[in-house]
Amino acid sequence: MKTLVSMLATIVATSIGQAHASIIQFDISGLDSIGPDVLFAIDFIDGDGPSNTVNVSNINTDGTAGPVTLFGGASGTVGGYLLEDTVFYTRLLLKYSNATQLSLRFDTTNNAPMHGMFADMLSLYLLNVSSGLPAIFTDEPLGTNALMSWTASGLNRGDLLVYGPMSPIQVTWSSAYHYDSNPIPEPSALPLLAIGLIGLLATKSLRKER
Amino acid sequence: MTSCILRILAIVLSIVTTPWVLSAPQPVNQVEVKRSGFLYNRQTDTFDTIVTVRNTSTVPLAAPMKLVLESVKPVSVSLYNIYGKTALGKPYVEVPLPGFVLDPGKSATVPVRFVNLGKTVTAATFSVQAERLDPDATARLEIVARMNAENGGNTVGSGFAVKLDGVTRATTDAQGRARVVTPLGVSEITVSSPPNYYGAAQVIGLTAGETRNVDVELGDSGEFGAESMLRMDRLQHLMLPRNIPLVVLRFFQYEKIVASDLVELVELRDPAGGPPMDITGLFTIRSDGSLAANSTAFFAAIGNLNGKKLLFAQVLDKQGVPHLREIPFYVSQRTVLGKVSAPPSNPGLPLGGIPIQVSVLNTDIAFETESAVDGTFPLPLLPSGILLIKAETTSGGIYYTGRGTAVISGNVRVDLKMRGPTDVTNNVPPITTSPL
Repeated sequence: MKTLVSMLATIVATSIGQAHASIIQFDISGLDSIGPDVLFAIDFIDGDGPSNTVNVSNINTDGTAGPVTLFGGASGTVGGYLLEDTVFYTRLLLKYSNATQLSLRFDTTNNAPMHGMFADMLSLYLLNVSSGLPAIFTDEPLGTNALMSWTASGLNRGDLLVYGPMSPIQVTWSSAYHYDSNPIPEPSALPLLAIGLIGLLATKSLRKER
Repeated sequence: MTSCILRILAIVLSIVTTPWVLSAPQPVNQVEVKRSGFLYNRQTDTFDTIVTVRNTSTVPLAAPMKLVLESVKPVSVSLYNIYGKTALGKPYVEVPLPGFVLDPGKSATVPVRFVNLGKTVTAATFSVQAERLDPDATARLEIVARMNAENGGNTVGSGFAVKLDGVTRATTDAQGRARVVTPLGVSEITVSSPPNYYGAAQVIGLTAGETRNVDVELGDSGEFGAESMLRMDRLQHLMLPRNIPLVVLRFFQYEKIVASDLVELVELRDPAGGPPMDITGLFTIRSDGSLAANSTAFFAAIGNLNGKKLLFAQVLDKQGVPHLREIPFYVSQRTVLGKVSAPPSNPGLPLGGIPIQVSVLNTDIAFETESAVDGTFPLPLLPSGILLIKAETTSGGIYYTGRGTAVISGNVRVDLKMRGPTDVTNNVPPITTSPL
């Protein structure tokens, strides 16, 4: 029994740190070369597994905010938005006028997909206001023209990918993990399960002793 | 109790140690299949994922490698970049293999694009089909390709496609040579390069472990294009929505977009054999290598939007290689709101999750959709024509069938009654339509 408890404790010890909440900074400039109005689309697509959420906050721009469109599991107000994978396809559309630059932050949970399921995925696009189609062609390999994507892999901080333009343009963007000076590790499902099992064994052990 | 916990622990440990293996190895082909998350593709209106196939066997796997969509939920989901169907009717995409062979331990990736009217994909399972190159059932071919006397008689250069029984398995090197491991049953070797060089040679009686030299002589065989596919953005189930802002054409080769450099010809062809209409001037090349035309001008050029259309496109890519393909389509412009409803014999019949087959008579259009809890089911814009809708469900051991046709000449609401035996006897109408 002691060996079993020891093994479970090892799982807890080794698992903590596998799944962290992630903070991702996104910056873009040169938006005036696109036109007077720009439309950002932030997609959050559920892969069906443990739930994940994305908070969109710290939105800073020199442009004027226009209408916001919330779709699926998107909610919030001008200050910040919450994207939840309560439905398959969640979308947030942010329109700005006369903007040259914009920055924002994503705060995400990072729970791994269930065995054999797709991972939850976040992506960001710059769209043509009138057609709703991508305003920039990027080297994103699926041809969706995403500027960046992030996958809730459940490991480390997830998988962040930033794509480049297909041809030289005046718009530039970047995205990177923002490292909090006081990180609070988020336990993934596995250590929680192990903790539960330890509790179960401890209870049984106590009963036996009595 | 302890054995139960140990069992749970084993499961937990197996998950911890293999977090990236999202699908069990396929027992038949010994491969692991992993998939990424989804990105929404606004140009094709598809949900796209990248599937990675790893060869976990000890023998190489040869092209064509088929990634078969064994099951998907909901049933209304279909493959946008479908290459064909297996003998069992399962759709598949071809996995491009580097060097046309996937060696043991190596991986290859392929985009998989899902069409779904309800904009949801909850689960999908894949299998892989490929040819195993077992050492005891293969031979080696040492191929040398040269031009015939009329074309100089020299060995060809690099990049000529080498096909075994119609399947590309290698390309020639700078000396016109290619080495291919092949199953023993192969009979025809061809070497070709668009736009016009082609040669063939026959092989018979290969034995296991044998190495055979094969000379292939090429000549001018008339113009042909590269092995590529032509796709039209937003074309789903052969239907092109009338409300799209742009008509976009893309050539794909090995599932990578071909960067078009020159539009040589785009024409609308008459399936009945009438004269084609040259619409090359409508299309321009965009920076991603696709061809785009203003949709208003495109549909104006078509004129009569009813019936099957054929679009032919011919481009030169940046390497000067021609790509020429034809693609069939129908223009869809009718909004149809579909609903299945409970019959008088069973007003409480559950209406959610009923698979519904939809087709347009006298066309190639056929697809599946699925009803929501309230009985409504999503439909894309449809072309004018006669719509055939079929659905079936059971409740309390009784079969309820919906089947009916509706003439679509405008925007309509269609109500399909799920009739039981009593309803059929009582002549309950199978389907009703009303204008929107």
